[in-house]
Amino acid sequence: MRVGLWITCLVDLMRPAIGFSALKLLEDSGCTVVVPHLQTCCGQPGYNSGDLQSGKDLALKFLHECEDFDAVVVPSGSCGGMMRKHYPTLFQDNLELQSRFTALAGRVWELSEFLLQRPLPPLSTRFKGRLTYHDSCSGLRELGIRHGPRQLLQQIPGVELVEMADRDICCGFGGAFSVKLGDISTRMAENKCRSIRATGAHAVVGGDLGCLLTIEGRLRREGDDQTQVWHWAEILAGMASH
Amino acid sequence: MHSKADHFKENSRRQLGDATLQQNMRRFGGRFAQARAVAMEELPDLEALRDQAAAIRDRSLYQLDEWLLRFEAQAKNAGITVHWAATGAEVNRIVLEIAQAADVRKVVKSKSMVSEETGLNEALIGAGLHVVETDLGEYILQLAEEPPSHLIAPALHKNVEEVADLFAAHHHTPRQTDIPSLCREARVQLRPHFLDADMGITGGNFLIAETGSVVLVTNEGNGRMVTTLPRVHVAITGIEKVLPTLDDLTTLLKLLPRSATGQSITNYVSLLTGPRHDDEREGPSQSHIILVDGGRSEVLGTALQPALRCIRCGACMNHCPVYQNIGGQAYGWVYPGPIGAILTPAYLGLDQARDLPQAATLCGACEVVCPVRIPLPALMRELRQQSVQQGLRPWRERLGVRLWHWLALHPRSYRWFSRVLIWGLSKMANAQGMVTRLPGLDGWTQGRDMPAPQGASFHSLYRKTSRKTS
Amino acid sequence: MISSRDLILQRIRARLHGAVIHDDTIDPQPTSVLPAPSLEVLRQRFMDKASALGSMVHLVPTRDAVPTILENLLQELELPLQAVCWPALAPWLDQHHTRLNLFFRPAEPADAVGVTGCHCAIADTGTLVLRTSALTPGSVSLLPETHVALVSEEDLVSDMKASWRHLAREPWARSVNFVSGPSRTADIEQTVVIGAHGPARVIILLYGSAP
Ligand code: SF4
Repeated sequence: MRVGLWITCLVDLMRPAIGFSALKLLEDSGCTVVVPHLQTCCGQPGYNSGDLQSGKDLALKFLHECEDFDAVVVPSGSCGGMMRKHYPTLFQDNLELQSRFTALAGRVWELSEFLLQRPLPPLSTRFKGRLTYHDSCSGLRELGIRHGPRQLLQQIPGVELVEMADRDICCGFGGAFSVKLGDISTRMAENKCRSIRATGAHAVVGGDLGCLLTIEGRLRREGDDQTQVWHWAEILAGMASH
Repeated sequence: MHSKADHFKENSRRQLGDATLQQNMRRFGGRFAQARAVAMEELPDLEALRDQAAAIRDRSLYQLDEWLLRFEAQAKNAGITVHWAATGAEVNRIVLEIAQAADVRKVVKSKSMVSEETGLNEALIGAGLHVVETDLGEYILQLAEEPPSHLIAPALHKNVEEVADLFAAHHHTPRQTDIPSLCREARVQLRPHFLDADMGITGGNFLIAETGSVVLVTNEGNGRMVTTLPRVHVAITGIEKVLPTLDDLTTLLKLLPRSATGQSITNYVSLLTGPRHDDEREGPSQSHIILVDGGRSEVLGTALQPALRCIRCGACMNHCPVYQNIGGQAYGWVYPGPIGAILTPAYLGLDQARDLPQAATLCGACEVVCPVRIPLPALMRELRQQSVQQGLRPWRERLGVRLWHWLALHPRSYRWFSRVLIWGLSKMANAQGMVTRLPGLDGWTQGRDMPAPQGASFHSLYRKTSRKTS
Repeated sequence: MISSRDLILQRIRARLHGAVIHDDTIDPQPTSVLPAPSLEVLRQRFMDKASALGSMVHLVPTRDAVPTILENLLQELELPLQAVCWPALAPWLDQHHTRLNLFFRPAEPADAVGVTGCHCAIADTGTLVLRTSALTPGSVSLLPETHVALVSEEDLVSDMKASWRHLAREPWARSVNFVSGPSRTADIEQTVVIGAHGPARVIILLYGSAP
């Protein structure tokens, strides 16, 4: 199976380890992984800021780069949501494009969804500690990702998974919202960090880097340098050093 | 109501800094959401019911003229005087005319959001009438001289101590601080007003075309009082509220109270169809309905039309993390929360509420609970697009979006830009690997650090490992 | 000058002109037509739901037993043995053998207890359906603190939809009220308090038809 790995702009820029974790997990599960080398951004920032054209242009770029893969996998629920739920709505005046995007949408997977479709290779990784999982909004509500990452994490020996209060309430990131309405965004992040700390977890895990940057940034600003912040794929791939 | 919707940033900052409000929202802001979750468990076919509810509302909207005319004919048959008002000012004028013709001195009101839109109370008081709000929440706000902060619990932002202060100051009675006693006190204070008012004003949750009825969905009983005791009844409702049939009402009533307060049904559902009959000894002798446009017709046929399905249950705000942190008054006009972020710019104009469509993370919590499946995040995105088209966004934001768009389409420049950005951010990071100030992005850094990049971009590292690329 | 009515209708038509007619593949009405439940089922469901909403439900064997039971009940609740009643009840609500003092008229502010019949009662939600008329004034179920509703088992229907059929048998009333328990408010701190502007207590006497 020829799998295209979409890294996402944030992971590329801020935390490549998530990309390499995804790569390792996919290869371990027997896929031929291709990283389209011209990929940049899925277009979500512009699209959500009201710049429809940039959404469309980048959707076309994505189509061009990824249409040939058997599957496209992305370690982010919000980019996955963009590709699967939003791309097919962008070209309602062009039936041909619309049907190509719809077809491609059927082959786009968020990483946990994809991994759970296949027999998982034995994990060599161990992680000793208590984790709490934050449900990122787009993954949860656009793609229905809830149990997958938890199920994967629970297969790791040594992991104790605890649930935080309000686990499915937004962390306040919201892309440009976090800058435009920084006060509200910060308050939401503060609430999220309170819930995280109340669990006594060693680390909070999530599936979207935007949320993780928000949470980590707020935790550190509050003076908490103990609680670790990981993408679940980093833990699963054994790239979470602690 | 005078709109402060274009000052959302200031409004929300003030609300975030209001310690009492913050405590109140945290303590009881989420109670309706919990009650809703429990109530929905009783509906095994919830998702099908939401489809039906949305279809019912769409059917009304797509033939709105016909259903309104059918309603008008049936209402007239029942002896109701039907008025049409294109604007809020016209609503106020019509109510005043009715009041003057019937020699009205005192008006008792049950909850009407449309009358908040039009600023009816000020108009009536200005004309020398005595106006009393009788819904407990609205009554509290009338005493406090504040606008509502929630669709169905308008005084949600006030705690019991604040209500106790208001009552003690206005009723000149000993201060009571338990909720049941305060409710009792309101009942005792308001009863005489019901009995000697000349006019009752209500909103209308629905209009039924097949019978010409106004439907009121209430819990306190004040809606029944103001439509039973005064000589004149005036119902004020938006034109979008019409439903074709009683069976349509049945379906929507399964969802409205459950979505709103988690009740399987509200205490009272009243269908009002005209003035008292000749042999009756009670009930209003005049019954009026004012059908209000106020910007609604402009929304029909546009991408925002689904917002007109709204049945005002409040679930979207009960589940909105932004609303739950800033409260309803930050939204600056009658309708708060996600639906307010759409209706306010739709009715008043986008230039009157520039930041409201931005006031969301698009987390989608509202959309999944909306009983009539209004795609609230998509509508906010639509309004964001209109903002860009109308040139309403600040130049720095527009420039940023354009720059990103261009870079993302030019991978070589994009890689170069990434390198510069990573280099810059790494330089700015402190020993803990955190950037604590980002010029131009202080919205982020005023309350958060920004974790520094790991070192190099994924793509540059990946190229070095010289793997196979496409 | 064009009237607001015509202006609004004109705008609506202009806006909707050419609009895609909505997808009507969804039948807006719930389709499941269940067989009418038996009286036992309806009775039990009605009692459960009405009690859950804060109404007190008492079973009364026959209509003739109502006055005595009403007397005992008012006494037990330490209420005056005096009540305002729907004029429609006058022909059969016989106070002769009791100490009850019943008035058959619309309610007045001083009335503490109001006694009504009911047009039909909905089992699914524990709801009383009341229509106003000269003989069934709405104030009786509204002004007094205590509302006693006399409900015949024969008038139980399963759901609101069935109640519309029931209501359609007679000319449409000025006001049809679906009453589900005592009045309440949650306007302070989203905390439910029983007893707002309407009755604070609803007592339902559900009487059978069997001799
Ligand atoms: S938009 Fe939906 S959830 Fe919000 S008040 Fe309206 S009907 Fe309720």
